[in-house]
Amino acid sequence: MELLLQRIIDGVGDGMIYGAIALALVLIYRVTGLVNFAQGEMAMFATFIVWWITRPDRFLGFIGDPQLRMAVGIFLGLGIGFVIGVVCERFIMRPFEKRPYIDQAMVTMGMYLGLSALAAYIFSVQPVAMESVFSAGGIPLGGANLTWSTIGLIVVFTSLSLLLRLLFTRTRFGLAMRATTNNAVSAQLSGINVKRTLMLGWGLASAVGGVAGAMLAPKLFLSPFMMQSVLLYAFAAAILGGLDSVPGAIVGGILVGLTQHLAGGYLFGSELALAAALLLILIVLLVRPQGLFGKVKVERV
Amino acid sequence: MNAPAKPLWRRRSFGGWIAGAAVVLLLAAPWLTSSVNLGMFGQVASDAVAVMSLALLTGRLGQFSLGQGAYLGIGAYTAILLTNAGMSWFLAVLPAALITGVIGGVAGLPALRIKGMKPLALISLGIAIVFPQFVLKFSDFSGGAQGLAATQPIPSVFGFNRAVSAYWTVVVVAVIVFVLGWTLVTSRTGRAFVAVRDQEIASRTLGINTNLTKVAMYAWTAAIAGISGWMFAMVNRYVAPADFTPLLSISLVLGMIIGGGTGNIVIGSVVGGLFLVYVRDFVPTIGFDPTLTPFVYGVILILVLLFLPRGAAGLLQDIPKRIRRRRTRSEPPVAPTNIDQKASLTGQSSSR
Repeated sequence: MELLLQRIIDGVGDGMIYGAIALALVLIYRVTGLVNFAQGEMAMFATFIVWWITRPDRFLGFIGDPQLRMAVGIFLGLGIGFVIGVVCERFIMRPFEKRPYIDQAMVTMGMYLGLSALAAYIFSVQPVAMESVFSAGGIPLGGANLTWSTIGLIVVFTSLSLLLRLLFTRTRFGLAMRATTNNAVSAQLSGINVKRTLMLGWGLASAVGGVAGAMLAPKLFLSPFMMQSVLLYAFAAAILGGLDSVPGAIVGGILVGLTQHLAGGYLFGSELALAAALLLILIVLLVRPQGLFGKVKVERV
Repeated sequence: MNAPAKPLWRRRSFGGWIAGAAVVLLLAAPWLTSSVNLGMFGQVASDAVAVMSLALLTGRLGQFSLGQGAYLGIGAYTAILLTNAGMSWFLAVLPAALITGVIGGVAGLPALRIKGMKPLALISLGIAIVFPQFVLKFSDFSGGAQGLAATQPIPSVFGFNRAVSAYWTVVVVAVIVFVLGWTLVTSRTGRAFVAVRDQEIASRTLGINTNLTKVAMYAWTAAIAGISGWMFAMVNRYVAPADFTPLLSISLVLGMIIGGGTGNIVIGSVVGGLFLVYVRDFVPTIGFDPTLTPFVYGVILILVLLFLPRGAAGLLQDIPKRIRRRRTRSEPPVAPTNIDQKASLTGQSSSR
C-alpha cells in the first residue's frame, strides 16, 4: 500500500515537471501555431546559466543559505529564460516567419541539436549536481513520503498555470496573443504588433521552461541531455491535454507522470514506462483527437 | 527535314544518362578502389535509401516522421536475427521490409484520426526513443547493449569475396529502390500523394481514398527504411542499440534537408547519404571539438533551410538553368523542364 501511495506521489511530482514543459510547448503553440522541438533544450540552457550563477564561488555566492540562493537564482532564471526565448525568436525564427510550418519545425530541430551541443561545450558534458530550492525530507503520509520538493512543485506549477490562464483570458496581452494565432494578418491590421507579440510569447514559454528545468535539475542531475526524455513526456502531456489548453498541459502532465510510475512499477518495468505513456496518449487521442481539454478545430473548405 | 537532334546535355533525358553512367561506375568500383571505400559507399547507399524513405514521406505527403531511424534499426536487427538463424541473406530483405512496413502502417493509423503533422511526429519520435529500450529489455534475445554480430557469412557473388559481394548487392538493391521510388513519384499514385498533401478535402471529393493513401504511404516508407536497415546489416554485419538512437532519425532529417530530397528524390537522397557518411568524420578534422558536432549540424541545418530551401539538389537543378540563361540572350528563354517549386522544403505554399 505504501508503495502504491509513493508511486502516486512520485507520479504527480514528475508529472508536474512534464506539465511545466508541456505548458511551455502549449504557450508557443498558442502564440505561433508551431511545435517547438527545442523547448527542452532551451530550458536546459537556462538552467545551466542558473547553475552557473548560483555556485558558491560565483555571482550569487554572497548569499550564504543555499536554498535562498537557489530561490534568487530561479527568480533570475525566469528572466534569463525569457531572454533566451526572445533571442531565439528574434534571430533564429524570425527569418522564417513566412515559411510554412514544416520548415519552421525543422528550424526548431536545428536549435535542438545546436543548443544541446553548445551547452555541452560551454558548460559540461558530465552531469553536475545542483541544489534544490526546497528542503530535503517531507511529510510522511500513510507510509509514503511526500517530499517538500513534490509539494513545492505542485504549488509552483499549479499557480503558474492559473496565472497563465488569467494572462490569456483577462489581459490585453493575452488577447493579442490569441488574436495573433487566430489570424495574424487580421491582428496586424487591428494594430497589434505581431512581431513583438511573437517575441514575447517565445520569451514567456522559455521562462516557464527555465523554471521547470531549475526545479528538475536537482533530481536528475543537470546535464546537456537531461531534457531529452523529458521532452517526449512533455510532448505526450501537451497533446494529451490538448495543445492549445493551458490547464490541459498540467493535467496531461500529471496523467503522464502517473502512468509512467504506476505502469512502470506494476506492469512493464521502468524501461518500457515510456512506451506505456505513449500507448496511453495514443488511446486517448483515438477517442478524443483534440486532447482532453483542447478545442476542436473546424476546417473551412 | 527534321530539326537537328539536341545535344545530349540539352535533352530531358540527360538526367537518366548521368544516372546510368553513375551506376556503371558504381558497379565497377571494386576494381577501381579499396575495400574500405567500398564499405563507405555501402553505408552511403544504406543512408541514401533511408533518406529517400523520409523524403517520400515528408516531401510528397507532407508528414513528418522522426522515426525512420528506428525502422532502419528494426530492419537491421531482423536481418541479422534471421540470417543468424539460417535464412539466406538475400531472402532476409523480404521479412525486414515486411515487418517494418506493417509496423509503419499500424503506427500510422492513429494519425488518420488526428489532423496536422503533430501526431505522426510524436508517434514516430516515440518509436525512435522506445526502440533502443526495447532492444535492451529483451537482451537475451537481441544481444542487449553489446549488440549482435552476424554469424552467417554473406554468400559470394560470382565468386568474388565477401566485401565485394556485399557491396554489389547493396548497390543493386539501392538502385532498384531508387528506380521504384522515382517511378512512384512520377506516377499517378505519386500525384495523388501530393494532392492529399496539399488539399486533403479536395482530393477526397475527387475520389482519392485519402485514408488508404496515407496508410499506404506510412507502410511503404517504413518498409523502405527497413530495407535500408537490411543494407546496414549487410555492410556492417553488426548491430547495437547505440547505432539506432533518435539521433539517427534526426540525422536522416538533416540529410534530407541538406540534400534537398523532398524536391528531387534521387539526387537529394544520395547527397543526403553522402553528407551523413562523410561529414560526420570531417567535422573534427577541421578543428572543431567533437562535442560541437551536433551544433555544427544544427547551424548547417538552419543555414541550409534559410538559403537553400531545396537543398543541394535544388542547387544542382538551378545550375543548368543559369547556364542556359546566360547562353541564350538572342533566343527566347528555354522553358523550365519541370514546374518551378516554390522556395520551401516541401513545395507547399505558405498558408497563413
